[in-house]
Amino acid sequence: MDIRSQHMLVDLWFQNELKSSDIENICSVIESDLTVIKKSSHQFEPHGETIVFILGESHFSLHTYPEHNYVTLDVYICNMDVDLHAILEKIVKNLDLLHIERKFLTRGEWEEFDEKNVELSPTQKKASSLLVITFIVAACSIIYELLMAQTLSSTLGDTTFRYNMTIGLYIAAMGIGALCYEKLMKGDKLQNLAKLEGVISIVGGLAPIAVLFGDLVAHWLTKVMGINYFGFFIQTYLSIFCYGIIVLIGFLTGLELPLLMELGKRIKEKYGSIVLSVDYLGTLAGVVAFPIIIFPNFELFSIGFLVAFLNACVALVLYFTNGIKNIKIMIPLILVAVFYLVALINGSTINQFILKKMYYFNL
Amino acid sequence: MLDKSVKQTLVVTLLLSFCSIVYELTLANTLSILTGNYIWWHSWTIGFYIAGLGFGALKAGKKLNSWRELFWIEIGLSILGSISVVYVHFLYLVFYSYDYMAYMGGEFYTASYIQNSFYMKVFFFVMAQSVTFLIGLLSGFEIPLLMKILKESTGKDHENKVLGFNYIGTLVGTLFFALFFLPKLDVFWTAIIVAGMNLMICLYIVLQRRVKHSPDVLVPSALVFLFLVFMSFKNDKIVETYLKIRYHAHRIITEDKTQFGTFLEHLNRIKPVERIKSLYQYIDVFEVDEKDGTVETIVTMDSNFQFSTLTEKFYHEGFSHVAMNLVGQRPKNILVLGAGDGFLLRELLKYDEIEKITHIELDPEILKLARRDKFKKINKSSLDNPRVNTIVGDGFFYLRNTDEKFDAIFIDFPYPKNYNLARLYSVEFYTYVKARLKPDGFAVLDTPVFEKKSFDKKKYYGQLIDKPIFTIKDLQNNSIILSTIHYSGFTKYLPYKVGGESFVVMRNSDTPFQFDLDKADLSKIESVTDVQLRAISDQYFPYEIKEKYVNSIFHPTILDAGLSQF
Repeated sequence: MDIRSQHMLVDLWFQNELKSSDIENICSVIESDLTVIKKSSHQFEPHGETIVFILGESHFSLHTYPEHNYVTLDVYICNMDVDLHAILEKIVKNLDLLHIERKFLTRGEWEEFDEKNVELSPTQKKASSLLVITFIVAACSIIYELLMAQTLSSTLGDTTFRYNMTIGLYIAAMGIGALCYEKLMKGDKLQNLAKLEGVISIVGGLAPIAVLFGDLVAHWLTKVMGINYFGFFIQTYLSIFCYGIIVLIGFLTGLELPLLMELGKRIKEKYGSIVLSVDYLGTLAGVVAFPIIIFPNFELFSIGFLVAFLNACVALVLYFTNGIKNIKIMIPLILVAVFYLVALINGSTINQFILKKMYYFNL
Repeated sequence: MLDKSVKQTLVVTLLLSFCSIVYELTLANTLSILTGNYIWWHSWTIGFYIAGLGFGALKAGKKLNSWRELFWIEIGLSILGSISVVYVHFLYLVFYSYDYMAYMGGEFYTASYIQNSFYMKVFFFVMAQSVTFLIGLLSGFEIPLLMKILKESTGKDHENKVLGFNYIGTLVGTLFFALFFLPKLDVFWTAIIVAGMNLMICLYIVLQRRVKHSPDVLVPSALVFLFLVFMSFKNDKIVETYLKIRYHAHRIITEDKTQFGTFLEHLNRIKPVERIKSLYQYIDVFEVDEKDGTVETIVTMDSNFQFSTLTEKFYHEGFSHVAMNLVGQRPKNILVLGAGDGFLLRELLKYDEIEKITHIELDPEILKLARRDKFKKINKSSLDNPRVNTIVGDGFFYLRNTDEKFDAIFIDFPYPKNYNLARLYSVEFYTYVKARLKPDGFAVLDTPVFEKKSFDKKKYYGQLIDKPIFTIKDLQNNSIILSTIHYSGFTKYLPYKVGGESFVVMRNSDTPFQFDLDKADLSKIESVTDVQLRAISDQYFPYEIKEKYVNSIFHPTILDAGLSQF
C-alpha cells in the first residue's frame, strides 16, 4: 500500500486589511474540493483566528495574523492523487495578495521501508509507465528537430548551416518553453500533458511538408515580385518561416519536460531527477536512431508521420492509463493518431504527391 | 532590482553556455569536415554532448559547491576545448594514413581490410566522442553550480534566471558560430578563442576574489594562459604540419622508408600547403616535386582530390571530346555546372560550333584561383572568353528555375562524399537536367563508376591496374548512379572510363552511341591515347537498375555506398 501523503504549506500576505470574506473564500474552496468531516475554530484575543477541518483526506488548518495582514495554511492529504497545485490556484484566484510563499512536501518516504515491500506496488507501475512515456516523447522531439534540419538541407541546401541553426534554436526554444511553463501549464497536469503531446504531434509530423510549402511560396514570390531568390527579402521570409517551426517545436518540448518532472515528483520526490535523466537518454536514443535506422529506411515525410503517430499513441496511453475523463481531449487525440496511421500506410503515395505538387512545380 | 554580484554571475552563466555550445558545434563540424558524413557526426556529437550535460547535472550538487569548483571546471574546459580540434585532427590522421599508407605501398588487400575494419572505426569513434562527452560533462556541472552559488550568496532561488541566461547564451553561441566563426575563422582558431573566453571567466573568479588567492589557483591559470598564448602562436604551424602530413606523409614514407627523425626533417623541407577558406569549403593547393624535375600542382576541396596539373588533360579531354564523339553531335548552346577551374571550358572552346556557354560556379574562391597567372596559363584564360558567361551561383537552383533549353549540359561536381554533394547526384537533379535539355540534347557527368576488369595481363599490359578487386560495394555504387539516372527518365546512358577517370554520358534521343574510332574526330585530342580510346568499347561496368538504389535528396542512398569512410 502507498503510505505517502502530500503536505502543502502556504503563507499568504494580503494587499489590504484582512476581511472575513477572504477567510470564507479559502474555506469554501476546501469544502467544495475535499471532504470535510468536522470543523473547529477558535478566535483569540485581541486578534488572530485558528480554523481546523478534519478531512476525509486528512486535515486542513488556517491561522490568521490580522495585525500583519498575514495568513498561513496547511493542507495534508493522505494520497497522491489530489492535485494540490490546482486547489491552491483556486484559493489564490479570489484573493488580493501582496506575496505568497509555498512549499510542497511528500510525507512517508523512506528508502528502506520501500525495499521491504518489494512486490510491484501501483506506484512503481505508474512510475515505470511515466519513465517509458518520457523516453519516447524525448526521442520523438529530437527526431522532429533532426528531421527539420534534414528537410531544410534537402530543400534549401547548405547542410552545415541548417544543422547548426536547428540545434541551437531548438535548445534555446526549449529553455524559453521551460521558463514559460508555470504561466502556461496551469490546471490538471495530466490533461495538460495529453493536450501538449497532441499539439506536438500535429506540428512535428507536418513540419517537413510545411517547409516544402514555404519554399514553394518563396519561388512563387520570386517570380511574381521579380526579385532574387537569394536576396534579403526571400531569405528572411524563408528563415522566419522555417526556423519559426523549429522554435515552436522546441518551445513545446520545453513545456513538456517540467510537466513530466512534476508528474514524476508527485509519484515520488526522487523521480523528478530520474525523469530528467531518462529524458536525456531518450534524446540520445533519438539522435542515434535517426541517422542509423530512421533516415535510411523511411521516406522523408513518412518519418514525420511515424514519429507523430508514436507521439499521439503515447498521449492516448497516458490518457487511458491515468483515467483522464475529458472527451474534448480524447476525440482529437484519436483523430490525430488515426490520421497519422493512415498517412503512414499510404506513405509513398503521399510522398510522391507532395513532391509532384511542391517540388517539381517548375518542371 | 538585482544586485551587482547577481548580475555578474548571470553574465558568467551566459558566457559559459556560449562557450559550451560553441565547443560542441566546433567538434561536430570538425568531425564532419574530416570524414565528410555530416548527418552521422552531427547527430552523434549532439547526442554525446547532451548525455554529458545530463550526467554532469545529475552528479553536480552532491560534492561540488562554491566558486572554487567552478574555477577548476573552467580550467578543465579551457584546456579540453583548446586542444579538442587539434586532437581530433591528428586522431584522424592516424586513422586515415594507416590504410592510405598501405594502399600507396601496394598492399591493396591490407588497405581494403583496414579501411573496412570495424575496430578501427570504433577506435576512432570512441576516441573522438569521449572528448565531446567530457566537454558535455564539465558543462553539465556548471548550471547547477551557478544556481547553488546564487542561492548561497543571496539566500534566494534564481533558478529561472540562471536557466534563462543559459539558454540565451546557447542561442547567441549558435548564431555566432553559424554566422561568424564557421564562415570567417577556421575550427582551430574558433577553439582557441573560445578557450580564451573560458579562461577569462577563471580570471574573473580570481580577480573578483571569489576564491582565495593562493598558488594552487594562480599557477594553473597562469599555465593555461601561457598554453593558450603558445597555441595561438603555434596555430598556423599546427595547421601547416597537419596539412603536410595529410598530403605528403604517404609519399615520404613509401619513397624513402624513412625513420621518424628524418621524416620530420623531410616534412620541414616541403613547401607549406596553401589553404584557402571559402564559404563552402577548404581549398588546399600544394606542390609535389616529381623525380624528373617537373612540379605537379594539386588542388583539393575539403581534402578530396580535385585536379593535378599533370593529369588534368586526360581527364578533361575524356570529359569533353570523348563524350562528343560518343554522342556524335556538335552542340551550340551549352550549360556547364561546376568546373570553376576553367580546364573543361578550355577544351570546349576548341569547337567553333559552340556559340554560347553558360557557366555556373558556386564558389567565387575557385574562380579567383583559376584566374591566377599560374592557372591562367594552363586554362588559357577560358573563364574570360567572350563566348563564356560565368555566373556565380547555385547550379541546382539555376537548373530548376531557368526557362532555357540546352543542346548539352556538362556536370562537373566534386564526388558525392557528403550530403550537400549527394544532392547533386539525385534523381531530382537529373530530372531537371533532362527537362532542360533539347529533344536531341545530351548531358555528360563526371561521377565515380567502377569497372570490372578481367585479369588478362596481355590486354592491359602497360596500364596501371589501380583497383584489383570489384567488390559488392562497387556494384552498389554503380547501381546507385545508374538507377538514379534511369529513374529520372533517361533511357540512353553510357558509363565510360578514360585515364582512370569515369564519366556517364546520357542523351534525350534514342540514337545509339558511336564507338567507331574511324568515324570520330580525334583532331582535338592531345593526351588521351588511341589504346585508351579503343578500350572504351570493351569496358564493363556491372550494375543493376532497381528502384531501391535511387538516390533522392529526400532519401539519399549514395552515402551508404562506401564513398565516405563513415
